[in-house]
Amino acid sequence: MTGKLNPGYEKLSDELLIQKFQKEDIAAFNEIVLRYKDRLINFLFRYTGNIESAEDIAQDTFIKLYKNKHMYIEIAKFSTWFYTVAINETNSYLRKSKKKHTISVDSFDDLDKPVFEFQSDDPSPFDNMNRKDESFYIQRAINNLDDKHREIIILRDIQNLEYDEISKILDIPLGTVRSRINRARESLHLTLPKFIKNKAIKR
Amino acid sequence: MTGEEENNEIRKLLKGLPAVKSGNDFLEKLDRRIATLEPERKSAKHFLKEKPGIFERTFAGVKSAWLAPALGLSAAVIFVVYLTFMNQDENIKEQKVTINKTEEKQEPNSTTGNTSSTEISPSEIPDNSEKKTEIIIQPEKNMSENFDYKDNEKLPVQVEQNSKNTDREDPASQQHKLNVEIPGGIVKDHEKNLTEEKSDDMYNDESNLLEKSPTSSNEKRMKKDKSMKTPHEKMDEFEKPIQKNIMDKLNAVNKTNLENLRDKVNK
Repeated sequence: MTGKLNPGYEKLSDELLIQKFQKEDIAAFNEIVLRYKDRLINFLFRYTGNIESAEDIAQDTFIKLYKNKHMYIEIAKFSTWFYTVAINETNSYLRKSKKKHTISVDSFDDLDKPVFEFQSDDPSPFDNMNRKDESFYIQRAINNLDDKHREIIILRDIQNLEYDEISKILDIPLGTVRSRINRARESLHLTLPKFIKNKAIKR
Repeated sequence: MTGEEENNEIRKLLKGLPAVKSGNDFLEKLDRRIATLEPERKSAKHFLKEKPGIFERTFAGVKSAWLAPALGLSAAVIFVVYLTFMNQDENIKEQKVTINKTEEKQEPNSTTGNTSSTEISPSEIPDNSEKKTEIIIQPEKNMSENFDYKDNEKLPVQVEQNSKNTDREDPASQQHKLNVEIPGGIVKDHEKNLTEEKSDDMYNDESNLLEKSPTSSNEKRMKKDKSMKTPHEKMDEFEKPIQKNIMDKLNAVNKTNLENLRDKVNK
């Protein structure tokens, strides 16, 4: 961690922290890193489907914040601006590494997931799945979505951002946000019907 | 199951996904990457401190930054004032130069004999000589019978001096000089007359008027003639009335010229 942490900064808002960091207060930057690192890596992992890539992109995003702290102007929420930076970094990273639309099963090893064996028999593998397996399939379903639906469903249903905030991050109208979220959910429902049914039956 | 219920199920599924956290070495890696950036930033700052810019150097003495605009404005005002004064001086010089040029141009055009020096240019001689020999000749016709003059004899000093000037000049004018003959047998150097008669143009300048007025030159000549008492005494005595006539006429002409000049100067 660069420098020390200031315990008084825990109560400060993101906007105040970035203002302090713009005045070369490294403790404010450290506080921002602590607040956003897990949220950002979670978002990036869901978006890329790869924990290593997620960490790399998260590092790049924080470095970009460190370098270009003066680019932030207090007309939007810091989180909105920061997610926009993160999405741009992700897209450029994926373009470079050409790993877009690829899913690495090995990446789930980091999460202590068992290597999943696909069964060729008709009985669905969902029958024997525990919760970790569920997340694997859900993640796969998310990664099968196209980019615009994937990012919007992650921002809304995983990161729990508001519609207007998503609208600002992706720079699209509010109506488009709603329609895209609905379409993304419908497509997920189509890819995960058995799982949902199974879960419904269990309840 | 309705669409809304399905969507709610999906939402629950997505929200129920386990949160992925950063690795233990995430902050260490970030620290290392930032540490690599720091030396570049520090070196850039150091470089900037060693070599300050023009503004930093110029306003190094100014501690308060709010004075910078005022200083800049005052510098601009001083520069503008300096430029305007420079332009005024240049304009005055140009005006002077143009006035001098116009005067130089007007002088030869307006008066052929109006030169600051006593010498007459060869090109001017024939025009004046023709006119002024006529003036001279008329009174001599009456007086020539009483006076004998030999061609080889010398003229008075002043006439000689004047003739020397013309001798250097145009051979045509020399011929003209030799050809001018007064009926009474007096070969008179027309340049003697020229020096006197060129005053039409010469006296435009007041300074010239004082120095080279025909009266002053004649007086000097008369004095010289009296003191010298040369064999030409008779001739001089003979010339006196002629000269008086000439001088009267010249004076009359000069007065008019002077008046015109004064009017011009006053304007």
